[in-house]
Amino acid sequence: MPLGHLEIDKALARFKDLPTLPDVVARVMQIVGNPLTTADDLNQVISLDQALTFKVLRLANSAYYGFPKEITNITQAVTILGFNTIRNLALSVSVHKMLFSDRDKGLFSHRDFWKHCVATAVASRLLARRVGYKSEDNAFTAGLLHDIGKSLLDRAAHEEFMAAIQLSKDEKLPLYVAERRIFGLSHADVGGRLAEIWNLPVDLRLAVARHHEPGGEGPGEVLVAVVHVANELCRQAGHGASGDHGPAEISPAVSAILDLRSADYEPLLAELATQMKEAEEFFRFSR
Amino acid sequence: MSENDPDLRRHIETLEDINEGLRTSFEELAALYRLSETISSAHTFSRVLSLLLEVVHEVVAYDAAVLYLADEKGNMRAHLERGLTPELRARIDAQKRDGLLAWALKQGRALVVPDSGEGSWTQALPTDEVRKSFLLVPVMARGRAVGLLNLVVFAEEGSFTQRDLSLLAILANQAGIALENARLYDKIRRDYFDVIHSLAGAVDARDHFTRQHSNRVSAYGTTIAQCMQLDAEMIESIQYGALLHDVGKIGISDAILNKPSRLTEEEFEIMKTHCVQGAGILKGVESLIPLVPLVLYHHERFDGKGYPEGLAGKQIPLGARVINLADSFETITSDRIYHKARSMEEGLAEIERCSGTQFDPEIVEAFKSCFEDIRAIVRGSGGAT
Repeated sequence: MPLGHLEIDKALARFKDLPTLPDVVARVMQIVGNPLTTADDLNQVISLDQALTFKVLRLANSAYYGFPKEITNITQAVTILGFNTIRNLALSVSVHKMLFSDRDKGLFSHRDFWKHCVATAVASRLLARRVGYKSEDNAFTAGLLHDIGKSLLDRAAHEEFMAAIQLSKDEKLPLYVAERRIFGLSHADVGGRLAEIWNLPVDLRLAVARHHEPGGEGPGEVLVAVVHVANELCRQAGHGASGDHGPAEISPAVSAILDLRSADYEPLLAELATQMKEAEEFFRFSR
Repeated sequence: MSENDPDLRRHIETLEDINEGLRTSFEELAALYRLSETISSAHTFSRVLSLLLEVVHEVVAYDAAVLYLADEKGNMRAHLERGLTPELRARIDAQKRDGLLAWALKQGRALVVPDSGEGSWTQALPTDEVRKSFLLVPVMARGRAVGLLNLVVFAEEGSFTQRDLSLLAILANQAGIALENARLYDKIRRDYFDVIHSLAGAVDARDHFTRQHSNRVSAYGTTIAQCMQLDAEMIESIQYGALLHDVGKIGISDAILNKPSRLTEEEFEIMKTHCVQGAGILKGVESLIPLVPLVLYHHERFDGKGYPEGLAGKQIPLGARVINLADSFETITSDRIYHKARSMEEGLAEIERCSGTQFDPEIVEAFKSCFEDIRAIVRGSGGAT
């Protein structure tokens, strides 16, 4: 069972300053929530941050979106790729900047970890399309951010987080179980709470908090199940590394929520491999 | 707490905001409901398409529009156009060449592309030119793009809201479903006609003397029905009932059906069973059941001396009375093994002579008044003169 608010906050109290979203991104989250927001409005907010503008435009022009002409400003990016896509790109860029480094050594390589996140994002989007989920874009972002709790644990309590990974490795335990033994909470608990503090859309929050425990009730469960399946598929296929050494198994609870058969996975994995090449721009966030 | 309590005031303001938001959403929902109702009410393909263009104009007041539809191979072809100038057409052709339309179709959601001018779109446009935006809205049905709406608006692309784009997408999807339904409906109707024609053809193929007989009886019957100003449904059932009136002859042996001399009384009794046999054949197909009485009673006479049941006057279904007259006239004016074709005028005289005995006098009157039209049909089909 996911932990309750009180328990999470009690366990979180030891990590003093939880990262806050930059003002620009917080403002983006807010105005995209309003249906009367125009592309110009969104452009005005994002353009305040030149580095962000530059990165969002680079991603908007990446092979992953494959738009046949050059997108030259944020207004165009919004009207062409959609309000949600641009909101999610802005969010992803700043989360990456806050929580990820280029570290490539040790038990937990950030570079491999980020690759796992991008792969899960791409796979979530493919799955969302396959099962007809209402927002492929939120699926992508939920996949990208599903493990932000790990970055936070690594940043705030590196030694203990390494111990959790070691425990997962030694006992072939799912990492979230090992984390709960050591911290009293898991990366999913932490990530879910962080998503809440950042005011992320509800379906995103739920997917981050529950991606190891799908099968609840309610409208948010589809995205939870999508991210769960995407995560396990990416682990099985070996796209990147998540620090989790437990068995990569898809929960049987998923079958009641998603209309998927095991025969659907093979073409999906092939498509995932192709799209991972197109998503290369997402690996260059930090540069 | 007093009215001046700042907390209370803030709460009241928040509540008012929420209220305003709810009211706006409600109005939008009501409008959306009305617009999608309008689209869903259309039953024909072309009506759905023109309604979509009308309804969409209420959401985004476009200055020009093109509606593309996918052909069988999935290629998009322009189907409807509104207000396109040669200059706009050139821009849209450029978008097509650049792969923008294909890209938009793959997205399955509404998007806006800026005006690129004639060349590259990073190139600055002349400042005196009106800025144009192009809204590309895929028309989706069951997850597949069946069409694409390209709306040209004389406005900057940045002025569109999320709501504009999602309303357009919702309406286009409604239209997509309505189009699929209209397509299926058309297909069912075509199948229905094909079955009727092929059944009618089966009879004509067996009966060498009456080739084209069913077609002509159908044409005469339809003309009479139109002249009587019957409703469209009735006219249609006479048209198809007449095509199938002799379908029971499929069950009559060759020796009788194609006998080169007059039938004996016994043989004639067998021949008469074609009415009941025909009704039996049609009964098995649900959509043909309305035609059963027309086929069953097309040999009843107004004076009650016909078969199979000897019904009289208005007891005989109207459609069967019309077909009876059309059938008789066609037989009189065509070559048969036991008589030569008589002229149109002789046929008319014979019909008039039997008014009130074999035929319903009202139908005879209608037949007389549309006689010139009947003559035109005969000339057109190269039949009796």
